[in-house]
Amino acid sequence: MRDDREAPRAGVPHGEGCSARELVLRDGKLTLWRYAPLAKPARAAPVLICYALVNRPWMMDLQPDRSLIRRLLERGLDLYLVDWGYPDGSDRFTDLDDYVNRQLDRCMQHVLEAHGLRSANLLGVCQGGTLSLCYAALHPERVRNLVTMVTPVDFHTPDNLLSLWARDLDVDTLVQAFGNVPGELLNLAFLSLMPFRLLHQKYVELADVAGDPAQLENFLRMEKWIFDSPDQAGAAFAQFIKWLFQQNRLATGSLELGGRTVELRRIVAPVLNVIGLRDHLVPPSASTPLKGLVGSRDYTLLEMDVGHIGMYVSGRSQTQLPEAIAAWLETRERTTPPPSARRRTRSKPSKRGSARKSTSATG
Amino acid sequence: MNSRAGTGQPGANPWDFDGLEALECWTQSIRDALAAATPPLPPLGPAREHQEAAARLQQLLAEYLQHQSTLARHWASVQQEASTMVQQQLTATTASGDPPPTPRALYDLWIDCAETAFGRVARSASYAGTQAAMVNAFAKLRIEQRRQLEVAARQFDLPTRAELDGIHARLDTLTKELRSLRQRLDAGSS
Repeated sequence: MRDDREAPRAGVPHGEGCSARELVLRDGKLTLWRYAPLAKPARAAPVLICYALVNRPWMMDLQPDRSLIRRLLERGLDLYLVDWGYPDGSDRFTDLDDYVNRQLDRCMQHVLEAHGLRSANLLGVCQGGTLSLCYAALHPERVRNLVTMVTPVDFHTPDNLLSLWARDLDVDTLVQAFGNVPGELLNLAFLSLMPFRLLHQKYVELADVAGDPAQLENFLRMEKWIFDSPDQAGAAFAQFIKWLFQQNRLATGSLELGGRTVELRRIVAPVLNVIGLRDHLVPPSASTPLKGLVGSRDYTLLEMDVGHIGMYVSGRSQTQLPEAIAAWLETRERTTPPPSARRRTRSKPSKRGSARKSTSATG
Repeated sequence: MNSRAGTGQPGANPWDFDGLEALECWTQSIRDALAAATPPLPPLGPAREHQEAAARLQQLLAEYLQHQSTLARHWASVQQEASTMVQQQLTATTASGDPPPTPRALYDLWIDCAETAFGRVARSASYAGTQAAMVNAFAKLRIEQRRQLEVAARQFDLPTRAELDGIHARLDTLTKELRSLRQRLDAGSS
C-alpha cells in the first residue's frame, strides 16, 4: 500500500548480508533493496533478484568471500533484491497471486520506473525461481532475460523426496491448525531429508574446526541463516503445496493466478537455467524440464557440480557462476531485442534435453 | 520384551533394542487408557458438549500416537538396515587384512550407511504415507486443542485466534477491493 512507503536509507543492516545496500521501496513487509556498485557498470539492464519465501535472502550475501551478490556486483551488474520479510498473523490470507502479481510486480515496476526502462532482468532463486517463472509468464513484456537458479518446475519427478512427502499432506487442515505455517516446521522437513548428516554428523564435524575462529564463524553464520526461517503465509503455503507439489500445475499448464493461466510457453525471453547436480532439495530432474516448457528459443542450461547450499557458497560457485551469469546477460544485451521489440517466435514446447552445458540460443 | 540388546548373545542385533518396544508398550497403554476412559454411552446432560469435545480430543490423540508408533517402526528398520551394512563393511575390511577403522572413520561409516538406509525407507510410499498421516493427525489434534482453548477463552471474554482470523480475512478482502479501486482510478486518470 502506498501509505507504507519509507524513505530510502543506505548501509548494511547487522547480520543480514555483507554488502552495502539501500532501501528503495517498502510496502508492508516487502522491502526492495538496491546494492551499491562495486565496479564500472556492465552493459546490462538492472537485475531484480527474487529469492524464496522459505528462507532469508542473505545466503546470497553471507560474507565477503561467500557472496554471489558481491561477485555479481564486482562484474558491474546493477542489483536489486526482493526481501519478503517475516509474515505474521495478519498475512494469513496472503496468497500466491499477491506475491507474484502485486509484490513482485511492484518491485519490478519500481526498477523499471527508476531506470526509465520497459523491461529488466529477473533472477529467481529456488522457490523464488518458481515465482519468477510465474511472473515472467504473466508479464512477459517486463522481463528482458530470465535467470533461474536451483528452481523446481516439474514437481513430480521420481527423485523429488519433498514432493513425495507432500503428496498426502492435508495442507488445508495444516494451515487451519497453524494459520501461518511455522518456519521451524519447514526447517525440520528440510533437515529430515538427510537427518543423520544434517542433525548429527554436521555437529560432530564442528569439533574439527572448533580451534579455527574463522571457520567457526563461517559455521555459525551458516547456522544462523539455516534456522532464521520465516513463517509461511498460510494461504500462499497451501496453494504452493496443493497446486505445485501435489497437482504439478506449473508443468502441466493448469496453474492460475489472479484469474489468468500461467503458461510457461509465453516466456519468450532468453532463459538461463542453473542447476546443482548434487542438489537434494531441488533435484536436477525437477529443473531441467523447463527447456521443453518455455516458449523461448534462447535457452541455456548451466550445470554446476554442487549441492543446493553449495550453489550459494561453494568456492566453485563463487568463481564460475557470477562470471557465467554476467557474461550471459551481457551477451543477450548486445544480441537480443528487448521484449517490446520482440515477437513470439515459438508456440510449441521443444523436446526436453540436458547437456552438461547446453545452449539453444538463436539470438 | 526383547532384552537381547547388549547381552553379547550370538546373533543379537544391537539395534533390536528395548527402547522401541518400550515406546510401543507405552503408546499402547495410553491408547488402552483412552479407550477405557471413553464413555460407552453418548454424553447426556448440560455438560454433554464438553464431554463430547473431551472424547474427540482423546480420539485424535490416540490416532496421532498410532501413526507416531508406525513411523517409529520405520525408523527402527532404518537402524537395523544401517547396522547390517556397517557389519558387512567391517567384515569385508577385516577379511582383506586392512587395519580396523579409527573411531571417527567408524562413525562416518555409520552415518553413510544410515543415510543410505534412510534414503531407501524414506522413498517408500509406506513411509511417506505414514509421515503425512502423522502430520495430518497432529494438525487435527491441534485444531481440536485450540477449539477447546477458545471455549475457555470465551468464558473470560478473551479474544481468540478464530476472531482474529475473521478480522484479518475481512481486512484482506477490503485491501484487495481498495487496491482494485485504486487501479481503476489510476487507469481512468491516465
